[in-house]
Amino acid sequence: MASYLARRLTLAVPVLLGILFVTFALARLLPGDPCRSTLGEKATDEICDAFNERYGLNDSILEQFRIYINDVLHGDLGESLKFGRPVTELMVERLPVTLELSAFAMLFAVLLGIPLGIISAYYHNSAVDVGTMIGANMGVSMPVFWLGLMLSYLFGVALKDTPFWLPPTGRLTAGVSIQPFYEAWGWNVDGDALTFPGFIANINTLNAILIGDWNGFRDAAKHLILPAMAVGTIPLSIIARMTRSSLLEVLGLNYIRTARAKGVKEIGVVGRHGLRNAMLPVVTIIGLSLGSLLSGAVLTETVFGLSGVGRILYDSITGRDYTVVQAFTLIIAVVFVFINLIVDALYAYLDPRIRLE
Amino acid sequence: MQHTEPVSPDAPDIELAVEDAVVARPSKSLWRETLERLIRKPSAIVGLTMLGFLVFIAVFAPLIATHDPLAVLLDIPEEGVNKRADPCIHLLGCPSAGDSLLGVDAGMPVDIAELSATNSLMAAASGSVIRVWEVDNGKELFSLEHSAPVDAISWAPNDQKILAVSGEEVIVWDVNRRTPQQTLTLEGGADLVLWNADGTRFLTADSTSVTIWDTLSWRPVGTIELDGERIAAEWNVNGTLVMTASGNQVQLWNAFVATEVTSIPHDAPITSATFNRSSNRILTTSGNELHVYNTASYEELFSAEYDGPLDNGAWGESISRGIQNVLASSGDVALMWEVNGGDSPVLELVHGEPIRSIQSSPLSTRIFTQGEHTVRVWDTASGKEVVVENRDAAVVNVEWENNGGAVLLASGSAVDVVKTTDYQYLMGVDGNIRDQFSRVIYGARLSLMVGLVTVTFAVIIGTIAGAIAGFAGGWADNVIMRIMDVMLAFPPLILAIAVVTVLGPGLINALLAISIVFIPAYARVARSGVLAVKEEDFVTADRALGVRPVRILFRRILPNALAPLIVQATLGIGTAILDAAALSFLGLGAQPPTPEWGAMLGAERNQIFTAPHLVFYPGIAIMITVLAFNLLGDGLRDALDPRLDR
Repeated sequence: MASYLARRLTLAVPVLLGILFVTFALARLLPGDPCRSTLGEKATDEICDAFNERYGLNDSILEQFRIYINDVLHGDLGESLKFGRPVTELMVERLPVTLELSAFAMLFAVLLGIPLGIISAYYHNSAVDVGTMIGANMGVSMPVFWLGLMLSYLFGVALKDTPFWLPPTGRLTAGVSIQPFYEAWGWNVDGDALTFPGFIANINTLNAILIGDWNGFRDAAKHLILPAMAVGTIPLSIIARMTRSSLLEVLGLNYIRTARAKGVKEIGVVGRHGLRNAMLPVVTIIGLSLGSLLSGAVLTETVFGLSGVGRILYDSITGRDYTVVQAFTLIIAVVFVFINLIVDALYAYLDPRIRLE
Repeated sequence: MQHTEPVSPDAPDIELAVEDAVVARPSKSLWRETLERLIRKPSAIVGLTMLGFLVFIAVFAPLIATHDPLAVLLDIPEEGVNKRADPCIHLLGCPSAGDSLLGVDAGMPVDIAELSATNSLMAAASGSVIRVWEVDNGKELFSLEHSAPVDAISWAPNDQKILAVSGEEVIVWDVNRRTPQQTLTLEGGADLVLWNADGTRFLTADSTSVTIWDTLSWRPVGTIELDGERIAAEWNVNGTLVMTASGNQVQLWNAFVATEVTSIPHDAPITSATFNRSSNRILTTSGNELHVYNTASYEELFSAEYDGPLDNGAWGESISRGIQNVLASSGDVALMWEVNGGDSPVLELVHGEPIRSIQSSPLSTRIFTQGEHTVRVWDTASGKEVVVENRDAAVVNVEWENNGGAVLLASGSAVDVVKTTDYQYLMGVDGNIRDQFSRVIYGARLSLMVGLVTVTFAVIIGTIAGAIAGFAGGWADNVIMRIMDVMLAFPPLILAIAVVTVLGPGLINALLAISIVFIPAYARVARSGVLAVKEEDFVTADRALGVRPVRILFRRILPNALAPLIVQATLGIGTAILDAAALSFLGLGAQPPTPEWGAMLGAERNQIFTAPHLVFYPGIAIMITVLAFNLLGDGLRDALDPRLDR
């Protein structure tokens, strides 16, 4: 197992270097002059020279790349050209929003997708099965942003005067605020946005649980339902389909017949014997659909007015904020690579045959 | 399996142990077999049907679409359309020409009825009461009581005030508070009250005089004494002049001091006089003649003569189309001349009873003629009658709605809004007043094109790269596949966004970005396919026979490794369409006014709460298209992989 992991980690190094190169190159290739897009069209050449000097834009590309790698390895992702703040600070601010959204979306997808897959595999070719599969096929074919818009219309406007109404935008109702947990616990934290506690406190639901503010939790969770449903629908469909086909395959195997023959209850046959073996590909697909979660978050955050990673990525691309584009693309790619690594490792752990390849 | 390649006569005579050991490419029967398996899959059949439907729509888009997808409806022109209007389908109860959009009963005979300036409210005076309704839903909002019968009303240009003449008083009602804001005394009363275009002045008029009022001091600015009975009194468009007609002359007055600017004499008593919309022309009728004057030089620009006395002059203009018509009536005949045309009328419409008023719709595609009991609406292009409304009680007032799609008709105690256009908009009207249905139909072309082009490009590049990597092995394999790994390390959409930002927004660049992002997937599939086939006996046989490597790769190996690529490509088309839509949604792909579904969605996303249909239909169209390719891809995968054939 350890040697397998070591091999995988070594393989990831060139990929990570490649990612660094791509993000660096992309940011440099962006059309438009960063100086004039930041300081305005009328910035004079002198001002721009000073600007370029300050942000190292006058050095040769190779030198810039070397400095870039050195900085990244030291945890310095640069300073946003637009906000004039360190990108890490922006990240602490924005990442929690996207993480929270992704977590809720994944929760929604797994909690609904696996049972649906099991039911439709067990009642193969029944109405439930056909219905689930039609739904799942439609789910993967929907544009995420469209689903988000339709959900916000349905729950925000059409069901306005019913108990099913849900807030269509924002993270918290205006006026509601949740006290950061470190304040509630009396911790002394300086520069609260930059620190790890600040990062955790920015995850509204988690923070609310930590300080036991149930009204705050309910409000934050309520705001998360619609975006989570929108982002989670594609993973949900994929998980349901994969669970179904994998369980179907397993349920046709001989040892299941044996288990039935020796008188194991149906629930035991499916749950203990079938599901345990059918879960392998499902675990993989859950890991892999985290990528689609991230893409989905980029598209839905603008729809639901959440200021997360997707939003800032979009804003900084249109605003030619090189460093922010660089940093966030880098972070997303690195997270993506490590998720894939973890999934591979998990898979190898669950299925010993993989390690021996 | 049949060995189909004929053995050339000079080929070495090799004794084969098994008859069909050397298989160069899948025989025709394999493809047929796959196809047969495919059409047994329900999902593939559904997918193929949907795809056929979409291709049909894309090919015959010009025949199916009701409009040009880029045409702004008001430029065509079609009247009665509003920005972001709801879908309207006759079969589902959408009103057509002649249907009543709104009918309210005032309870008492209506004397005066008037739509507010923005057409959102409507007021009707009966006796000494003014009632106000909402035009959208016919809800009565309030009623205003007066001590004496109401003789005239006028809505302020911003709908915030109503002027009412009641006996010897002019009452200025505040519509929001529903209380009188000012009560002005007017000796002798008036039978006409009229706001100017910006609400800074108004005029009141009785049979021989016109008084101009200022709304800052609420005092009269001046009074114009006419030398005969008043035929007309009107503001010009910027409120600097007042035009009056009495006796044989039309006079223009300075609206600030009420002194005469000029007078235009006529040979016979004037029967009507009116400004055009921009008030640079005056139309007058007198005797059997009709005249058009320039209001700056007072020159006569056009005149026409008819067999009978003319009355009820009116303008019919559509400036964007360069149309300027004048209308008049003679007895029960309505007449229309082109101002720059000849002497004889272009339209002669017989109304059936003496005409009391004629008015042209804002874009001059329709006119109505009003008689004692009948109102007729005519199409100006064909001269055909569109709507006939007969009323038992006398018709009090008829008035066009601002968008030209309906007329307000008051008679007896009933006030109706009658629709005069027959257009239906199956999916509504978008924010730029274009037909959404036609745009969605044309969007099918773009989306199919996007899917096919991107995937074809990605498959070609990816397959070549993957095949070379798999076939050559060694450092080539390593370099190519490491590059692919780096590309795969990014979530596809994020990478596509980044690439398109470098290339610049635009449909072609978005296609390129999506193609680039998809290359690694095909490269991987092609490589693994090539690796699997590379070790087959027939390849070894080819090598032994000295066939060139390039020929082995492209003629022997690749055709046998195609199956998974086809599946991947079919499933990839759906994803490509989704990603292209996402890029367009973010404003990075197709640019307006291209009828691309994602761009249409993106353009109207902020209107989701007020006009959900504009977001709903393009999204459904995307879903159907992607679903078709996904179902087909699933069916293909099952058909090409007999192990899954259960």
